[in-house]
Amino acid sequence: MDCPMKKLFLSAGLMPLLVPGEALAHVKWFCAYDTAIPPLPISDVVTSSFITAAAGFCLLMFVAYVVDRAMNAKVWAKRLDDAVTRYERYSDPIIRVAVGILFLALWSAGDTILMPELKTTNGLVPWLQLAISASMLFPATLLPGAIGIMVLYGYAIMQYGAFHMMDYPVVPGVAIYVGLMTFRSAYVNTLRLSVLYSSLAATMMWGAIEKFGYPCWTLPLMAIYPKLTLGLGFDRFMNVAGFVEFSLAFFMVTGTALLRWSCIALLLLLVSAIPAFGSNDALGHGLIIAGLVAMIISGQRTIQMPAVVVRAGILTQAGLLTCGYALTITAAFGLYYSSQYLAGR
Amino acid sequence: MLGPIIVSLVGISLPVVGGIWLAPKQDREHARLMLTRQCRGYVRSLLTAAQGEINIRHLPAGLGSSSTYPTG
Repeated sequence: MDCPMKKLFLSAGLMPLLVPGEALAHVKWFCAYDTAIPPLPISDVVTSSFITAAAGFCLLMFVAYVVDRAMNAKVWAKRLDDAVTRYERYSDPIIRVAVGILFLALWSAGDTILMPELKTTNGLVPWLQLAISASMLFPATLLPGAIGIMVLYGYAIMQYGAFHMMDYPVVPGVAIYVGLMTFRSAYVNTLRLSVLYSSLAATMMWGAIEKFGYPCWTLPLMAIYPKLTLGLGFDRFMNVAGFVEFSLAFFMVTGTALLRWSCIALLLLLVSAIPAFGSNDALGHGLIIAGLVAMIISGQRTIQMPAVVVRAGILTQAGLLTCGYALTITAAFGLYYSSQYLAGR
Repeated sequence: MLGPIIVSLVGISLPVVGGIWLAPKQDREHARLMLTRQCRGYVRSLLTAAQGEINIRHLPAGLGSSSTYPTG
């Protein structure tokens, strides 16, 4: 490939990672919502604007995978990966500190279960949160701490319903990560990192599908912060926002050399929302931000694509992964709508 | 009632299934063996402790004090 072509592919490939300005804030923390109301019918979701955005993002993902796989073969990319992965041992302390601070903040708030909108009057919850926070101090107490997180998650399911809590797979993901920290083994280390990766990706993907299913929840937010739409019409903005979030999340678990950049892009989107949306946003996104930092350090080595993808050439890999991307969106829609039907209150 | 339970289980198992699927095959296999061994050991120690408890309860009256506690 000659040099101008390379530059063109590189620019196009990096585009999904650089789609600007869509500061991510979880709508349920700031606006009224009702999960008992069914989401928009699929026929209303799949509009011409949706199909255009879907086709555009499939193309962008294909180019991104071509660039990603081409860059991954370079010596400098391997050196960079080696240099950053050397700090992988800091992933555990980062997660422990983040969980400790988050649960201390929740204890201090006194009326919040796990996320800003999950309110409770149960007097035992803050003390359990304080115990979880303290449990992060010592390796021996990590397992009880992880069990405590799962107890709070179960309590939140009882109070707010299973469909509502499907927004937060990151919570059980982090609990499993913390629980598995007690096993001192390189193999378990890899497994717990991949659990963390998948929980983060699932959380972001679920949030993306929610943007398609319940766009009306975001309307009040857009009325307060009209600049967020970047001049796009509301429908088009919601479609682009949903696809940006979903694409970055999917790339987080399928990328190689650019995986870290996908995480950095998501991290910037989340962090850029904090000044505008305040402490609630910081509290709600705390676990995700810590997880993304851990992912940026650990990189691609803890995940492995199926052999059929790994053995293929760059273009075939890009094609297979783009098909995987389209299938995953379809499956996510299926799971979202069936979950609402099964668990809608 | 069954619907919410299924959805809860799916929500909790999403990160686990995804993580197992994403992890490199060798690491996955080693981790499975190690965790199985540890869990078996934990269950065995629990059963042994429970067995000891049952043995003490079935001892004749007067036995089972600290001086006669079976140590074997």
